[in-house]
Amino acid sequence: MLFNSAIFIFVFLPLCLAGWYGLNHFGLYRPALWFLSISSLIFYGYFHPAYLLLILASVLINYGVLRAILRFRKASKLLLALGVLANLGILGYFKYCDFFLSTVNGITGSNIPLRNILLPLGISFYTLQQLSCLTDAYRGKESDYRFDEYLTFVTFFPQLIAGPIVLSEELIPRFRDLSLRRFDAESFASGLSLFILGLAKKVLVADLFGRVVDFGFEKIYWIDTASAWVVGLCYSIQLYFDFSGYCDMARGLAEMFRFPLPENFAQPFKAFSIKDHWDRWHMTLTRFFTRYVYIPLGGSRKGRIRTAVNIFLVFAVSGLWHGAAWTYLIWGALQGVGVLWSRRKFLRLKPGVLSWFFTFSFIVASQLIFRSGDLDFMRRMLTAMFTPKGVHFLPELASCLAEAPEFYMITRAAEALAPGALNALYLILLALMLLVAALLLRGRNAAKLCADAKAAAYPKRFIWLLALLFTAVVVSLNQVSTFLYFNF
Amino acid sequence: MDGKKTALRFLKRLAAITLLCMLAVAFVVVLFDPFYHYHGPLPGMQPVLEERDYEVIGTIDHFDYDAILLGDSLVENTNTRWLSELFEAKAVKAIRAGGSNADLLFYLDRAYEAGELKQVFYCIDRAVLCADTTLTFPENDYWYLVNRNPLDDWKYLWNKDVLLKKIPIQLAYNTVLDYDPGEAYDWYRTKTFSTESMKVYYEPQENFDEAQPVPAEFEENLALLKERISAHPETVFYLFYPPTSLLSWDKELREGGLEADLAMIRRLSTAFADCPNVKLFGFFAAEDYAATDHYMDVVHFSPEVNYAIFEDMAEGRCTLNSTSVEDELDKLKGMIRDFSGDKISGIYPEAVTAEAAQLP
Repeated sequence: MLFNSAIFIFVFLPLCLAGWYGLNHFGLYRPALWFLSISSLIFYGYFHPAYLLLILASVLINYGVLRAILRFRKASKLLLALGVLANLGILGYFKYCDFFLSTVNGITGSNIPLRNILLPLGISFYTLQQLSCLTDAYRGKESDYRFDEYLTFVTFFPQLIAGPIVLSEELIPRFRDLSLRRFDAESFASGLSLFILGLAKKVLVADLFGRVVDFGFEKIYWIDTASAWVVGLCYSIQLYFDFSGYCDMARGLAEMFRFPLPENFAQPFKAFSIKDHWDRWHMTLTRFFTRYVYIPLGGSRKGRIRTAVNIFLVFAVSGLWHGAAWTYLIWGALQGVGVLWSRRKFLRLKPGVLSWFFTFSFIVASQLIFRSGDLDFMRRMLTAMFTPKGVHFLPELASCLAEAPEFYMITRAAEALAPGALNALYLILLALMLLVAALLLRGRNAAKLCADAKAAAYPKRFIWLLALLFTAVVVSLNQVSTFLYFNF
Repeated sequence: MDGKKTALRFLKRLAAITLLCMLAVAFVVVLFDPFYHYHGPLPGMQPVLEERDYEVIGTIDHFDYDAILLGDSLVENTNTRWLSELFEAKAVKAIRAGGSNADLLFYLDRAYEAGELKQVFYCIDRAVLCADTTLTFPENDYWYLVNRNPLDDWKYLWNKDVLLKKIPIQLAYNTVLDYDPGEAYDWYRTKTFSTESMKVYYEPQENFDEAQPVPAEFEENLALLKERISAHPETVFYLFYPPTSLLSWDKELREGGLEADLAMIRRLSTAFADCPNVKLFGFFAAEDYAATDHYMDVVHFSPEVNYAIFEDMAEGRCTLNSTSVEDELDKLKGMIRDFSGDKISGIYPEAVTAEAAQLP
């Protein structure tokens, strides 16, 4: 089920909220938790019922290992290793099997048939989440959870498909706090506001920029330098509004249930260095890799060279985690190099326009690698970006906006009244889109907007903004599109 | 406590304003109703018909008409004004591109539910008659317009394309742009009709396949059609087998479909003999209409051909019945022998020509 679908907004969510608060109202606290986890499984299985078997198997295996770690402390290291192997084995099979086979085929010239395994949604997210839980138990943190608590923690639908990556210590204690089981208008109002803003970011902004990106990649053989940079810019904007929009929705939904989720974005395009960017972008992933990969590898405690290797490794692994393709690995490795660069004092620029510009350009170019999917597309896009090929394709790129409902009448009118000015109009529309996106990126983020509105006792203009955005989103629901982060 | 009160007040206001906005959008859609789901064109406005699959059903349910043109893309370029001039018919078009007899009969049934019909013009080409006998409407796309379930109307009432594309274009065609509603759903404007343009869509296969039997669906489709005809003796049914290009006949010959085609035409000529309200026409043997320069691809002909066949029907030419059918089929076979046995080399120099043994 998609957050931006009618079935979710008008059927699933109201029923789920009513069931949750209804059961809790009558003191049925444990059935309420079961209700929430079963609802979450319905939400998950709606995409593809067969995925349910995998997620349930994964939960059962991990819960079994968790209990074993708590019970057999002396063997906890071995049990943790088994748990990690099981998780990585499942993830490896479903996500990396074909990548591995095609790489072997490429290197050896063999022709091993690919398995064409359908990647189960959210597998990367719930695998990391459960790995963190096992590791915390091994480290002696409070992890004595009941099965219904653990199941709800893993499957809680707002964060199940694409994060934020939540730790058990953040969620399960709140499940246990029965004072939070009562409906609270303040939490609900905050959550609803954030959910609507997130919906609008995804549906109204990200999907519009997605048109330009898809068209650019469709026409990759004709693309020139200016167009490649514009496609890169549009993709960075699309990715940010798509993923941060999803996270805002997730946080908003969780807030409606009175379970706040951690923030995942802090205005990443304002960063002055790549390290700064990664402190602001997908923060819960950075936190996971720092806690559970970087620090166990030795972190910065074993000398400069080892630190550099650790950083590079963490980002390379993060790249592969995002997708099973060489482009993801290259993207991750580049991020590692960028972070290492920004850690060296003599290479680092002082925070200012120049450092912002280089950081932003680096992010835009590297995110195009992320989008490319295969090495040939990556090569073509980077060649277009970094070799002078002019601007002749730009009007055609912008012309893909002609069919966007938002601009349809303007372009049809221009077609009838001034066909000679059409190309100029397309370019103006594209420039306007970029300008609006820049203003949105410069302004307050969704969470801050909601917090400020709450502090100001929800002024009328904020209520009108939400109502108009929600109406615009509902009107756009016939053009349901898939979230970019679902397949990572 | 204040915070709680503020939040509750916010939630109430948000719900009220959102409802207001949603109702405003729904009101605009119901008022202009670009797919004619609730009513016909507003007084003083002419219909704008550009989205065939979305608009046909609304046209049938809510327009004022006494005749209907049923068929696939072959008759899409027909201007309903011609039917008015030639048959004094106030007609609507019910087109189902690549559709089936079942879909077209579904439209016909809906038309009878909406009112009386004086005339039905039905293009019964090979594709329509051999199609599956079940409906082919996709459930997820525009079914909400076809079914009569008001609960799924929200897909129409709150629809970005309807609001930002269809309503403005309806207004534009009624104010500043020229539009002829008779030409609803036409596609010919961007196409070129010539031998050169059609030949790129067809490559004669070298071998000649074995003859195929008549598909079982043919008789089932005939029976379904006849059921409607018998149920409505007050309506005159103009059934016509449309013009077919020489390349299309060549294709049938090579792919082993020709014998079945001939058998189907022969069967068609007698199928409605006991239906006095049927006027049956066959344009398959008309050499003028089969000429390759009238086509954009193997099957789709120009609007001039569309006009000519309705003119023929109005004047009673090209009728098909049990007495004329053998002559017509002989003419057709002669045309095919002439083309596939010899003339095809003029279009495809490399093509293997049909030998006497393969020719009909």
